[in-house]
Amino acid sequence: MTNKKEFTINGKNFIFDKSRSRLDLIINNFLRKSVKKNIAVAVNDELVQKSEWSTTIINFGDRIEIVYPFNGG
Amino acid sequence: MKNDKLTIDGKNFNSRLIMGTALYPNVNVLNKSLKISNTEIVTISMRRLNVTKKDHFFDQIDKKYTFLPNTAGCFTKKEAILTAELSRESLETNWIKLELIGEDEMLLPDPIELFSTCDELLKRKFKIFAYCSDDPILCKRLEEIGCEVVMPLIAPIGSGLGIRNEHNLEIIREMCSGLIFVDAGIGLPSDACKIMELGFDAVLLNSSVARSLDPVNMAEAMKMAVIGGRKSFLSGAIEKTKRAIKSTPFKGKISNF
Repeated sequence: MTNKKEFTINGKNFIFDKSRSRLDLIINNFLRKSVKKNIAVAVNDELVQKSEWSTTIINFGDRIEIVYPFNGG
Repeated sequence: MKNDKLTIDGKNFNSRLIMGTALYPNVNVLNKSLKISNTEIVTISMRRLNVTKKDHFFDQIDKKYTFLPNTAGCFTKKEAILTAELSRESLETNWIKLELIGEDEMLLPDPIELFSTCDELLKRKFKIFAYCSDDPILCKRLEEIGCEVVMPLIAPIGSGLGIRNEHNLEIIREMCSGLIFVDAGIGLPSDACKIMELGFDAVLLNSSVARSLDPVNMAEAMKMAVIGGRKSFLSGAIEKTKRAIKSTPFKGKISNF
């Protein structure tokens, strides 16, 4: 669970910073410059397409999921 | 027989063996196994990215393969739809191997949740490879609703039990005119061969190769089994009879003593 000053990425809590609330900035920060072509992102259980990252604003309590292809059967 | 292509969603494939990519001892064995199997389609999953991990599987696998993302581990329609949407965004494919599990011990598919989810994914223009139980009516209904491929199991995922209900497989093949693959439960190459002899269009497997003592060798065995089974199906097997039909004529033999 997040408190009012946090949001989550892949289940981990992060402190919300209003000056850095754009999704593309948050993703870049999280990935530490290792942005991969095949990552996909959902916010609060809804897909956010790559083209919408820079116009999506993250708020208190939002849940971000950043996924990538893994082994599977 | 030379032009015996497998056509899925307008794309032609030479191989009728689809390989999973999980549970291999390491990525080197995985890549060798995929190569020797001659597979052209491989399954993958979508999982949370771990930024501290350096050697991601997807960065090390040959990109020549057609990727079939799955919804493994999904129990609900909501989870499966989001996973499908994420995989489409990630891999730029409308293909989705739809797995909706009803419980976590036998990992059996939930036919009711599956059918309902297919309906929604079709509206969203996905091409569905539906992993389902070996119920002929369910398979027929999934085909009729518009699934690209219907994929009944022959036994629980990873069990290696092989064909449990051959009669159901025969009925499914008779009732469904579209693409039918078998997914899950294969243990031996003879299972894969038998499935192809029954007229199924392809075999999808993972554990039987990845967890064998020698995955590369087993991958080759599976390739040969699928090819053998397919050729057998296309060749028209003889009818079974309860009495002998001699192959060498009696006429001309040396005596009757």
